[in-house]
Amino acid sequence: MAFDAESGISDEALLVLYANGDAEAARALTQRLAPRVLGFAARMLGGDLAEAEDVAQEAMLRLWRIAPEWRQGEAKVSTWVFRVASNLCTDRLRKRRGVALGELGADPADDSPGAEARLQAASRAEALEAALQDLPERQRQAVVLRHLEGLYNPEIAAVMEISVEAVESLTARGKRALAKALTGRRAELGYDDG
Amino acid sequence: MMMAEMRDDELELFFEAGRAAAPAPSEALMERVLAEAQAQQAPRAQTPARPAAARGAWAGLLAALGGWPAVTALAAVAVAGIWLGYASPGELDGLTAALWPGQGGYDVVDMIPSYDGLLGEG
Repeated sequence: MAFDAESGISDEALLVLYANGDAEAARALTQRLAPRVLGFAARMLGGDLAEAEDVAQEAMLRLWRIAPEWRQGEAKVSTWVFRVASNLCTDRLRKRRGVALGELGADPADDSPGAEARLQAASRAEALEAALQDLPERQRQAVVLRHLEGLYNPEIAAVMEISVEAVESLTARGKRALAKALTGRRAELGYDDG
Repeated sequence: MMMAEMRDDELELFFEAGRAAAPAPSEALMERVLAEAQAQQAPRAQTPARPAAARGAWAGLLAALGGWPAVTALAAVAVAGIWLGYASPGELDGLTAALWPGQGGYDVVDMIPSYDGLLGEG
């Protein structure tokens, strides 16, 4: 049976189907989860795409391995994968601590006609990435999960293995620090101050 | 010049741009992830088939009889039976006669109590 990434069937149901030998379920889960885990890992690792791909691949591999023993109803599949990816990112950040963070891979320059809006969006994204990298790791993680990956606070609490209150505190502090850092970029991005 | 603090809706513009700029996974990554999914799936899918494939007619018979211990006991009893058939030990004749009436041992009548003794006293 074919499932596309948007079909109504839950991640958990797909994982059970996968464990029972359904090849299409693996494809749908990959399409749903791999891009999100990659985006999260890239932001946690300072835009290093090659390393983020390694993390995404490893997190997905661990999901395939746990599939036969998956206990239904205990955790959300996406939360579980984010938690694995989060731990993998933390390990890698620890290993390279002291080494300068990589530059964000994408070059926002775009010379094509009518590209002003795209250029501006790309500049904003770049400014955000730079500001995110200056946040303490836990704040960055909470802000990325909340505002870029769209997870709810209880899910983030499960990913980070902390309380919901701690998540709220981390995201609030992270947002304040981002607002402060990005205020200086507002003028150069062409915004009004008002 | 002092700039006003950034409002939440302005910050949201940055988040929006950040979401839109999320890195797209390469085809190669998606293929690697899928290949690993299939590789993990393959050994599990074969697991139930393995014992069935290894089991031939003899293995089936062995399992039906209850495994090696049962077959060993069965073989020992069969050998004992053959030996008894050939050697026919004398001690067995009495037992055979008792269990198999009409072979020169006891008859059914011999087992019925007699009233003769009681009648004689009256």
